[in-house]
Amino acid sequence: MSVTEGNALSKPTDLLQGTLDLLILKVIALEPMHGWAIAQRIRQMSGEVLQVGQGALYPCLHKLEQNGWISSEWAVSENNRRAKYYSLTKAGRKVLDHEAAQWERLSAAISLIVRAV
Amino acid sequence: MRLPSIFRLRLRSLFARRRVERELDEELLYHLERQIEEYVAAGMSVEDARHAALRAIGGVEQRKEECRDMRGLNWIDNAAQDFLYAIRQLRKNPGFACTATFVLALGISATVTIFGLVEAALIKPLPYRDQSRLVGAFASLPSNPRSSLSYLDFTDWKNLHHVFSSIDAYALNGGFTLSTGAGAEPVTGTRVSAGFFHTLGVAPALGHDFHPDEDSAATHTVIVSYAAWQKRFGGRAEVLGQAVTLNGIPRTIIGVLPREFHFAPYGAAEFWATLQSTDPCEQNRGCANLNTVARLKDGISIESASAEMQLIAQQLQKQYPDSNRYAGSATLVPLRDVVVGEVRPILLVLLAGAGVLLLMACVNVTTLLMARSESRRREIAVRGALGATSVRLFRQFAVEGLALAGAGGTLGLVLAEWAMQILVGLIPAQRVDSMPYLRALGSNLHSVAFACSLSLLAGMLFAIIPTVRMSLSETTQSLKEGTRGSAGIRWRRFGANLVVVEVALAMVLMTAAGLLGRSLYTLLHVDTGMRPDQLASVGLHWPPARYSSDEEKVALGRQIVERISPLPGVRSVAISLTPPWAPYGAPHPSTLSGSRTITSLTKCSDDR
Repeated sequence: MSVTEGNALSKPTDLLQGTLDLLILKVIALEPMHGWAIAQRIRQMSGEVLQVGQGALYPCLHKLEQNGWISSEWAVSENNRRAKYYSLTKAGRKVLDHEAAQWERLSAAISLIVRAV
Repeated sequence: MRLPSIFRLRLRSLFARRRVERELDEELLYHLERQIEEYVAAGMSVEDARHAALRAIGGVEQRKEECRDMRGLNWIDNAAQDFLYAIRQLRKNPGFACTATFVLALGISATVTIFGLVEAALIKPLPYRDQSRLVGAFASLPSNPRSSLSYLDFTDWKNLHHVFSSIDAYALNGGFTLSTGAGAEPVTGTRVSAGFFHTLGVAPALGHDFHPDEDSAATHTVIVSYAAWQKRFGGRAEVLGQAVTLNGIPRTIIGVLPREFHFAPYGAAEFWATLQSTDPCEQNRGCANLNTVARLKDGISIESASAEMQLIAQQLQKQYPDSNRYAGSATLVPLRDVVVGEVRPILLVLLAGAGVLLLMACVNVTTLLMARSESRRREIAVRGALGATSVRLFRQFAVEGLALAGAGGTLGLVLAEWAMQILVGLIPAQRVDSMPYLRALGSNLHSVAFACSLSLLAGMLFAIIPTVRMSLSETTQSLKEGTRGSAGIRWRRFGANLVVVEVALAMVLMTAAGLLGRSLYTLLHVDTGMRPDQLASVGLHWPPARYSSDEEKVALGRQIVERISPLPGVRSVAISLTPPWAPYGAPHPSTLSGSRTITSLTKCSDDR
C-alpha cells in the first residue's frame, strides 16, 4: 500500500492509489511543494500515521502532472538546493473538490457500517 | 488544464526526453539526499544512512521506470527502442536478414501479383450498370453449348420472351473498311442492335445513344469509342454529325462512348454501327452470326429465364426443322462468366499456387528464425533474469518479426508492380483486347492493403514462433550455455515437422507445375492434320461495294492467287474464308458472300 502506517513500502493498490491522489492534491493546494516536502507534510498532518513511500509518491506526481492537474517548476528549496516544486492547476482544483466530496461520502458511509453494532 | 497543454506535456515527454530524464534523476536524487540527512540527524553514520535510504527507496531505476510508465508515453519509447534493437539485430546477421527478406519478398510479390490479376478480372465490376443482372443468351448445340444466333432467330427470341427487360445482339463478323482520303483502311468495330448500349446501361460520354427504332430506320448511324475519337477525330466535339464511310455505307457519328467502356466478349472495337441486317448472312436462318446480351427482368432468376428460353428454342426447332435442326436448346450465362469464364480457373490455380509459395516462404523464414532463436536463448534468458517481463520480451519478438515482414512486404510490393507489368506485356495484344480489364493492372490501394495484411500475418507468425519456443524452455536452464532440456527435444521435433510440411508443399507445387508443363507440351504438339511450318497467312480486306456480286468476288480471289503465285519464294497459294483452326465467329471470320476478309495461305519455299 502506498499510504501506510510505519515503514512498509510496497506497490499501491487501486483503492489507495486514488486516495493518494487526493492527499497530494490537498497538500499542495496550500502552497507549491517538492516531493520530499509533500511526503513529510502528509506524515505530519496525519499525526505520523500515514507514510507515503517514494515508490508511490513520484509515479503518482508524474501521473497527476501528465493529467494536467498539477504543474511543476524548478525552484531553490529551503536548504538552498534546486528542487522540483509542484502546484495545483485550475483543473486540479476542480478534481480536488470533487475527490474530497467523494471521500467525505465514502468515509461517512464506511463509518456507518463499521460503527453499527 | 486544457487539452493543448496536456498535449504539449506529452510531446515534451516524448521529444525532450533527455531533459525529462535529467529532471527525473535530479528529483529522485534530491529525495534520496533528504532521506539520508534525516537518517543522519537520527544518529546514523553517513554510510549507514546512505544504505538505509537506498533500501527505503527500493531501487532508483525501478522508481524511474514507474515514473516513465506514468508519463504514459513509455510504450512509444519502448517500441522505438525495440525497433532500433531489432534493426541492430538484423544488421548483426546480414545473411539471415537478407535471406529472410528476400524469401518473403518473393512469396509476397508472387501472391500480390496474382491477386492483382484476380482483382482486375474477377473482383472489379464490369463497367456496366447493375452488371449482375446481365446475361448472354446462346443457342445450345450438341457441338457447342454456347453457339451464336442467326438474325431471324434473334428476332424471334426478342419477340417471344417474357423474362428480359431487354435483349440485344452484336454481330460477330465485325470489322469495317473505313474509306479515307488515301484509300481504304481496315478498322475494328461491329454492328449492334439499337438497344445494345441501353441494355448494358452505358450512356455515351458525348452525343446520344441509338434511337430504339434505329434498326429499321433508313439513316445509318455509328457511335465511336473514346480511343477512336481521340485518335481519328482529335477529341473534338464537332465529331458529332460528321460522316464516315464504313464498308461503303456513309454513316453519321452520333455519339462517343465513355473512356472506361469496353466490351470484352467482342474485343477491341472502334466503331459501333447499327445492325440493320445489312449483312446477307442475316437473311438466312441457318447463318448464325450474332451473340446476345440481355438484362433479366427484376425478380426473374437466371434459371427460370433459362427454362423459358429453352421452350422458345424448341418451338423454333419445330417451326424451322431444316435450319434449326440442332438448335433445340438455349443456354443463359451471366455476362461476367462470358467475359472471364475461361480465365477464372487459370487465375484460381495461379492464386492457389502463389499462396502455397508464400506459405513455403513463411515456413522457410520460420525455420531460420527458430535456428536463430536457439542461438539467442542465452540472451533472452539474461534479459528475463534482469527483469524483462514476458510481455516486453514478446514485444521484442513481435517488433523483430514485423520489421522483417515489413521489409519483405515492401520489397515484395515493388517486385509485384514490376511483375504485373511484365505479365501484361507477356499477353499477346490480341488476347488483351478480349481481356481489356487487364490493361488497368498495376499496384493500387487494394494490392497495397493486401500486401500489408500479408506482411502483418507473416510478422505475427514470426513473433509467435520464438515466443512459444521461449516459453517451452526454462529460463534457468537456458542460462547455462548449451543445456538442452526436454523442451529442446519437443522443439526439435516441431522443427522436423516443419521440414516435412515444407517438403510436402514443395511437392504439391512441383507436381502441379509439372502437370501444367506437360499439358502445355501436349497442347503444342497436337496433331492438327496439317504442317504449319513454312506457312504464312495474310488477311485481306476490300470495299464490299466494289465487289458486290459473287462473280466479282470469285474473280478477285483468282486474281489474288495469280498475283501472289509468281512472287519469288512462294511455292503455292490457297484461299479460305476462315483461317484453318479458327472457329467460325472468331473476331475476323468471313463468308465469301458477305464479308470483306479472306485469308490466303501462302506456302513459302523451303529456302525461305
